[in-house]
Amino acid sequence: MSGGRSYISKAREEQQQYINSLLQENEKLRAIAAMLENDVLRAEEQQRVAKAELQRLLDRFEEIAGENQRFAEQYQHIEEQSSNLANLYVASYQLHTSVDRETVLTTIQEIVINLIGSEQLAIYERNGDAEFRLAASFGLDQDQLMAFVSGEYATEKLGEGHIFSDPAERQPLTACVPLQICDQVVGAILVFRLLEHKQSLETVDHELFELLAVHASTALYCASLHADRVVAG
Amino acid sequence: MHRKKILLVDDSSTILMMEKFILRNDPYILITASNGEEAVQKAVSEQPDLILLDVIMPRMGGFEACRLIRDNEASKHIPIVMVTTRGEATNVETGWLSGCSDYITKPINAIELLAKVRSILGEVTEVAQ
Repeated sequence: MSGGRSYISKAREEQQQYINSLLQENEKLRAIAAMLENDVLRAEEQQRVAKAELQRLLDRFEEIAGENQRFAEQYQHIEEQSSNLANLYVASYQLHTSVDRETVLTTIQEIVINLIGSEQLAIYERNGDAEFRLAASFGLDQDQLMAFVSGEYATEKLGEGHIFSDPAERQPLTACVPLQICDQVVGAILVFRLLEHKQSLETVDHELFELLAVHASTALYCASLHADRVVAG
Repeated sequence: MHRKKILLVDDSSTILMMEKFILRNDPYILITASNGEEAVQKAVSEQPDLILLDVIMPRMGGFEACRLIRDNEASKHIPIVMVTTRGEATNVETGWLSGCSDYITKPINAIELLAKVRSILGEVTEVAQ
């Protein structure tokens, strides 16, 4: 009997030890679980911060891309402005490089041909209230020109001037630029068809017309004064 | 750095000035000729890296000058860009047949001219002083 009790007692002890070890193991596992839970929370927090940083970087990238686009557009705009200024500078410079009448007339033609883009033009002059007189023309048949200015666009109207923004609407004339000195019309430039590949007038062309209106007239006037001076000796 | 040399050929002083003005900020050496004959001579004597050649000129036109430059051993390698008021297909075709490398139309667009010159001569890394 005592042997049986001792066996039961031993079994209970072992059972208690086993239970204790299980409780200890459970305690350890709980600690690990708590630690892992903390790790997960920390990881989630890190992920949240990383996502916020990623979003910030994406926003910044978009902002820089936008700035880049704006700079590119500004650069393009400046290049165009520079190109337009080059046209105006060259035109005004060339008009005043000579006081020889023929050279000035040639320069006006070169500006219309090469900077505006038309190979059909006529330059008229007049003294005081006298009639307009053809000074030079390029790419036009004289008869055609005479028929045009005596009919469709009488010479008396040359002083009024007109620029047709859409050349297709008013063929064959694209522009009539009155040449003025102190509000007095001293001549006119008629620009007929534009070159085949030039579809319409651009802003710089209108600026060139304005420049020609003033500078071509003064250049021609200077040339006349110079010629008079030469004749007078 | 080796500065590239460009021969500008046009009988119009307005166009020559315009081209010089457009190219002035890049470090190119710019030389000029006012007709086809002079262009052919200078292509050989000056050995430019590029020629901008007008089509209609007195004495000798651009197409003939282009053919002569291509026929000469000393100048046949030089790229030629024709500068023309005529952009029609037949005119462009004549340009290609005469041996030009590219063409631009008048009125000259500064951005287009710079782009073509830079694509042929390479991007500019040095700004002219």
